[in-house]
Amino acid sequence: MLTTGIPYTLPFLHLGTGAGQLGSGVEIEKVVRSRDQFLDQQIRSETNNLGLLTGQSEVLQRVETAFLEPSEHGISNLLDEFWNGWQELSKNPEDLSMRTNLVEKAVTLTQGINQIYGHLEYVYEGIDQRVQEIEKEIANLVDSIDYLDKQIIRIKTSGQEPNDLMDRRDLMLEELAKYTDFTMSGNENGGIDLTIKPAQGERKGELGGLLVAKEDLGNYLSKVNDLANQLINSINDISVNGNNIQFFQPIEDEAIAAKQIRVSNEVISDPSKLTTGVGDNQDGQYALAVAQLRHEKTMDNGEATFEESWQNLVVGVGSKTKEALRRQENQEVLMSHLKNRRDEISGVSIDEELVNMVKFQYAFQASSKMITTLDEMLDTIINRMGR
Amino acid sequence: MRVTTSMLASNFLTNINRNASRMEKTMQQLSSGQVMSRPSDDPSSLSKLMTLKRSLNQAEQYGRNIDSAEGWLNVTDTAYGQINDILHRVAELATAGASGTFNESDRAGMAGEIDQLMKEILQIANTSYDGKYIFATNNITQKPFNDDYYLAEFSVEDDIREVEIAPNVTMEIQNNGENLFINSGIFEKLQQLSTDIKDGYLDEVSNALDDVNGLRDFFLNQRVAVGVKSLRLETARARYEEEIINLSTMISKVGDTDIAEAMTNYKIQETVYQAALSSGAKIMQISLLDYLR
Repeated sequence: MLTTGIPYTLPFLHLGTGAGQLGSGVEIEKVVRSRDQFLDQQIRSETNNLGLLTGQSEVLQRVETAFLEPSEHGISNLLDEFWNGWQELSKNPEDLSMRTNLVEKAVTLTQGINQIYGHLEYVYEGIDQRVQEIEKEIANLVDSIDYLDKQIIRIKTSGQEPNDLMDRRDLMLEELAKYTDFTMSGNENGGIDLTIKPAQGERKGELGGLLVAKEDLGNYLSKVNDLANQLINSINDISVNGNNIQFFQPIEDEAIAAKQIRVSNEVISDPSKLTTGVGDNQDGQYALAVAQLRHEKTMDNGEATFEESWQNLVVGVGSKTKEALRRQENQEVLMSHLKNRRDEISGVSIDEELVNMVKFQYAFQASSKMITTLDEMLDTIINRMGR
Repeated sequence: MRVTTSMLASNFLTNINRNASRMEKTMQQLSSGQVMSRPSDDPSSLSKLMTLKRSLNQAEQYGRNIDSAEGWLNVTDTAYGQINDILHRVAELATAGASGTFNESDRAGMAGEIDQLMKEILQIANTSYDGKYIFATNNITQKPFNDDYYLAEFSVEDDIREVEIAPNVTMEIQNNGENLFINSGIFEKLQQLSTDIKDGYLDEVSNALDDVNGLRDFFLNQRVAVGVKSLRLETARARYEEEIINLSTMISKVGDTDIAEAMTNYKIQETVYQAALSSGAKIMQISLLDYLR
């Protein structure tokens, strides 16, 4: 990072020190970094918050795109089509094409559920991977900071100011603040003591954001599973009364029902085996009963129908993402204000430097003129007097 | 306030980015025609949109259900109408047959006509609609009555046809043929009438006239019941048609891009973006350097 200090004390020529009339020029005593330590600390803590929100909203954005809503490929639309398939079958149970139609819609629905679950699971695994990467990154940064700190202490004890190294250390601390929160205090020989928060408990930075988002995502995954389980159970309960052919393949593990849900092989390979009525009858009574499941509040402890429950889930994801994005945006505005404040103190203004340059140039010119004038005076005294 | 070169640059970039992302959003709304492309764009509108779409989908499905129920009921209504016409003719024949003014060959002709009318009723009882027999008692795809005027036997339970016309409201559209044509005794009674007329049992014939009128009332009641169902369907259909129009309008209002509004926004954003670009490009170039010799 390029920062200017306030490198020069203004050379006032009449303040000559030491013997003689002439100024003895300028000596650089010390180059001081022009930084506001309080502002630096504030920026680090807000970077923490920004990291938290960024981590959260990045995951949520990936989650919401997996839902494919609002579009015709979304589960809500596929469910609509699925129930309509049963309705049509209930009207024309003896029509084989209606069965094939229903089976196709059911397969599209189950594949849609599989796909969403797969996407969400992929995001979930991605979080774990990212957490590992960040932990590695944190370890690297801490190592580098430690190395710099040792150098700084060594140079400081020799009486010099390692400004460039300190700048780099500040830069790395800010980088670290993106990932995690930490506590820091300076010690008397110019080094710092750094403590990274333990992995447990509430954390800030991107790491914290990822952990919060992971918990949310876990809930979404189980909601998708609930939908799959409920679909399988309620429809199989009805169709099993017919001729013992289950519409959905029974699930081995309810915890990943959304991953495993599929129309049973018997039905797919021969839709005519699909039961639609009482006993051997194919009068569509059972198809109608299944179609009417649409109105039943079977989800969320009897609070919502399949579609209402799904709508709540999607809208919930949307609200959460919107909230996270909004907070992230606000935090970015705050960060840019703080960074402006810092630039105001530490940044270089070309105009200012140029004005100084001109000023010093004039001083130099004035000095030269002084020397020429003195030279002329001496010339007059030495060479021209007494003629 | 001290203004530094890096401040100018980073502020410029931040603002340019913000303007560009607003333009991108508007452009997406314009090019897709949809206000929302992701749930987070506007969750509360999305919720409304999903509810509306679901209602529309259901209304459309019920509309289709009502279509097929109406088709079925229309065929049934026609069948009852024909039966009533036939019974009317039978009553005329019975009245004439009871009067005793006709000779034997006339009566034989009348009896023959009644036999023909019976065959016609049998044909009506075997009416099919879209491959299904509307007066079937159980197996709906099989002809329900055989040529001996008896119910064909199928080893299955009753076949019930219902259509959902509103959430959890179903309408039975199937007619119980056994009840209508066997239990009512229509064929037996007409057979008896035909024999009595032929054989000249005038008293029996005038008694049978009451039976025929009873049958006419019976089938008229059936037809009225069908008419009531049709009326219900018609009301429901009118409601759904209106609902579909309303819902489509609302879906469009909530979900579709208001082109005029979006274009106006786009123009404003474009102006701001251009102003930012050109002022940035001009101001960032200028420094004291330009004016120093």
